[in-house]
Amino acid sequence: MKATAVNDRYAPISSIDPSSRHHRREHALMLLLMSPAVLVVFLLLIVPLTWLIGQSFYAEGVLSLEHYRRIFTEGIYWNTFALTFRISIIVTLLALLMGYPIAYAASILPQRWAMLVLALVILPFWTSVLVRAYAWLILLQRSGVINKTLLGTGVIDSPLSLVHNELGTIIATVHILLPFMVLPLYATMQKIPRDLLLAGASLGGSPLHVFLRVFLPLSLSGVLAGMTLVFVLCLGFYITPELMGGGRTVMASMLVSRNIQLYSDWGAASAVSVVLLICVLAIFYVVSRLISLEKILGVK
Amino acid sequence: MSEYENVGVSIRSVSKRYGNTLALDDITLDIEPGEFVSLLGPSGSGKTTLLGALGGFVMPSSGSVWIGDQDVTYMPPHKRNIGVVFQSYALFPHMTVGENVAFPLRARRLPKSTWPERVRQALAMVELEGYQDRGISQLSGGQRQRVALARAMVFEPRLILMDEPLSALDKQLRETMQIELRQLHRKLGATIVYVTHDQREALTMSDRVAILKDGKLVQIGAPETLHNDPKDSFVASFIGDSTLLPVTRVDAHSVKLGKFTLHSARPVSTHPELLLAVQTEKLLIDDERHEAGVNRLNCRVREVVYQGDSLRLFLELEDGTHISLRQPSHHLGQQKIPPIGESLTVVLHPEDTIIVPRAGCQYPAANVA
Repeated sequence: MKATAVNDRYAPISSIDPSSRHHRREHALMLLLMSPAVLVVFLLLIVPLTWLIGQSFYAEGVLSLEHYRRIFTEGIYWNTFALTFRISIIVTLLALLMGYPIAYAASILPQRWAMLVLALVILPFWTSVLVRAYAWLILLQRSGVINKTLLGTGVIDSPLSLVHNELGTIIATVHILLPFMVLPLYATMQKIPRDLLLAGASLGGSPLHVFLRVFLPLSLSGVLAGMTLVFVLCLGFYITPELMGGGRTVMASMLVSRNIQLYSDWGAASAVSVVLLICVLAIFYVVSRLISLEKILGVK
Repeated sequence: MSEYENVGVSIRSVSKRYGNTLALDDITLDIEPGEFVSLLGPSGSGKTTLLGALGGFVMPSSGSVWIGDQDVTYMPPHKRNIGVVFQSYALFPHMTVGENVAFPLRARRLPKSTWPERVRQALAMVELEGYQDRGISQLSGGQRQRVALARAMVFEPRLILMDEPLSALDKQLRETMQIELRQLHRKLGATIVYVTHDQREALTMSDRVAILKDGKLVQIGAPETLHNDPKDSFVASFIGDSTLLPVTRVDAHSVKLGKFTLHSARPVSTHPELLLAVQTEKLLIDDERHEAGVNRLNCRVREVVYQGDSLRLFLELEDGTHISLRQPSHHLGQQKIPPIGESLTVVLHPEDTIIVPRAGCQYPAANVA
C-alpha cells in the first residue's frame, strides 16, 4: 500500500479517477456474484434461527422469559442437562480411548493397511443411524447375542441389562461418533514427520519415551479437535438415545421433541434449543482460543 | 566435551534388499576412530540406506555392522549412542531450543542438575549461547542446523551421522557451515559419517570419501586420491568437472586420442575400453614456455563463455571431439584467448593425464559435455 501511495505522487491526477471507478465496479460485481450464496445463508440459516430465538421469548402469545425461567428453576430441566453433559463427557472419553489407538495404528501402518483401517472406521458411517441403533438393540437386548453367549458359557447367571438405559445409549453413541474422533486424530498424526520419531530414537529415547515426549504432544491438537466434535455432536444427539435409552434416559434434544409432540409447546422447545445452541457456541469459543476452528472442522 | 571416546566403525559385507532391488550390495567399509568420512553418490546409490544401517533405522538383509568392538547390526537405534543430524534437522517443534538439546539427557535419565550446564556447553560449541528459551520457529535455517548439531553431540556420542545436513541452506551459508563443521570435527575429535550428493562438499570436508553407485562401493580414498587417481570413469565423471574421451592404449604409459599420442605419468590399464578424463582446470593454453614432455593438443575455439571468476572455452579437436578449458578471468588469462574460430594449442601435463577404464555399462560415459 505504501508503495502505491508514493507512486501516486508521480502519477498524473487524471489516472487516479478511472482506476478507483474501476475498483468500485469490481466491488459491485463481487457482491453480485456472492448474492446467491448470501441469500441461501440468509433464508436457510439466519431467518429460521432468528425465528427460533424469537419464538423462545413468547409464552401464550405474549413476550416473556417464562420458558427460560422454567429451564433454570425446574429440576427436570436441570437433571436433563446434567445427564446430557454427563453422557457426552463419558462418550467423548470412551471415543478418545478407543479412537486414539485406531488412529495411531492407521498413522504408522503402511499406506495400504492404513486405508483398510480407515475404511473399516468410515464404512458404518455410511449406514443409516437408525439401522445401526436397531442393530445394537438386537445385539444388546436381554435375549440378544451377547447375553445369550454369556449365559451359555456360564459367565453370568441372569441376563445383563445392556440396553434401554444409559449404558445402551453410551455404547451406541460411541460407535456412531467414533469416526468423528478417528478422522481428525488421524489427520493430525499423519502430519507428524517420521524424522522426528527417528530423531527421538537416535537421541536415546526408548519407544515409550519418544511416544510420550514427541508423538503424544504433537497429536494433542487432533485430540482436542476430535473431542470437541464428538462432545458437541453428542450434546444434540436424538435418535440413538431415544431408541437405546428406553424412554428412561432423557437427553436435551428429547426435551425439545417432547415439548412439541406431547405439549405442542413450540416456545418451550425453542428455549431448550437456544440453551443447547449457546452451550455449543460457548464450547467452540473456548476451544477456538486454543486451536483454530478450521482444524476442528477438518477444513485445513 | 573434549573427552571423546573415539571409536571406529566397521561395515562388513552389508547388503540390503527391498523386494527385488538391492539397495546395498555387499558393502565393506572400515572407518578409523576420529575420521571424517563422506558417503558420496547420486540419488538412489544407497548412501542414505547405508547411513540408516549405521543409525539402526535400516536392518541389513545380510552382513554386520560394528561400532568399536561391538556388533550393533540388530541393536535398536536408542541403544546405539549415536548422534544423528537429519536432512530436515528433525527438531521437535513443541520444545524450545534448550529442551531440544536436553532431550538426549532426559532420555538417558541423567541427573537434572547437570542439564543446564551441558546444554549451555553444547550451544556454545555451535555459537548459539543464550538461545535456550527460543522457539524453533524463531530460528533461521542455519540456526536450526546448529541446534540439530548441538542436540546430536550434547550426549557425547561415540559416532555422529549426518544426512545431507546442509542441503537446505543457501550456497553462501552452506560454504560457511562446511568450514565450521570441519573445525568442529577437529575440536571434538568425534568419528563422523557424512552423507552428501555434492562432490565439492565431500572433498572440502572429508578425510576420506566413499563413492557409491547402485548400492555398491566403487572407491574410497582421500579427496586427492579420488581426484588424481579415479578408479573408473564413474568416479572420474562424478568428481570434478571433466570430459571423458575414448582413447586406445599404445603402451604402459601412453595412449592415442585421435592422431595425438598422450603420455601419462601413471601406468595405463589394459582394460579394453579406456577413457581420458580431461578436467577443465588441468588444461592450459600453450604459451610455448611449457616443458618439452607435456602433451599438446591442437584445437579450434568454438565458444568463449564468461562465468565471472573464470572463462570457459569450448574447444573442438581436429576430429570433431569437444573438450573444454577453464581459464581464470584475470586480464593476463584473457589476453591469451584467440577469437572464436581461430586455432589454439592446449597442454596437458602427464601427471594430469588421467586414463580410466569405462565403468559398468549402466552409466553413460559421455554424460559430461
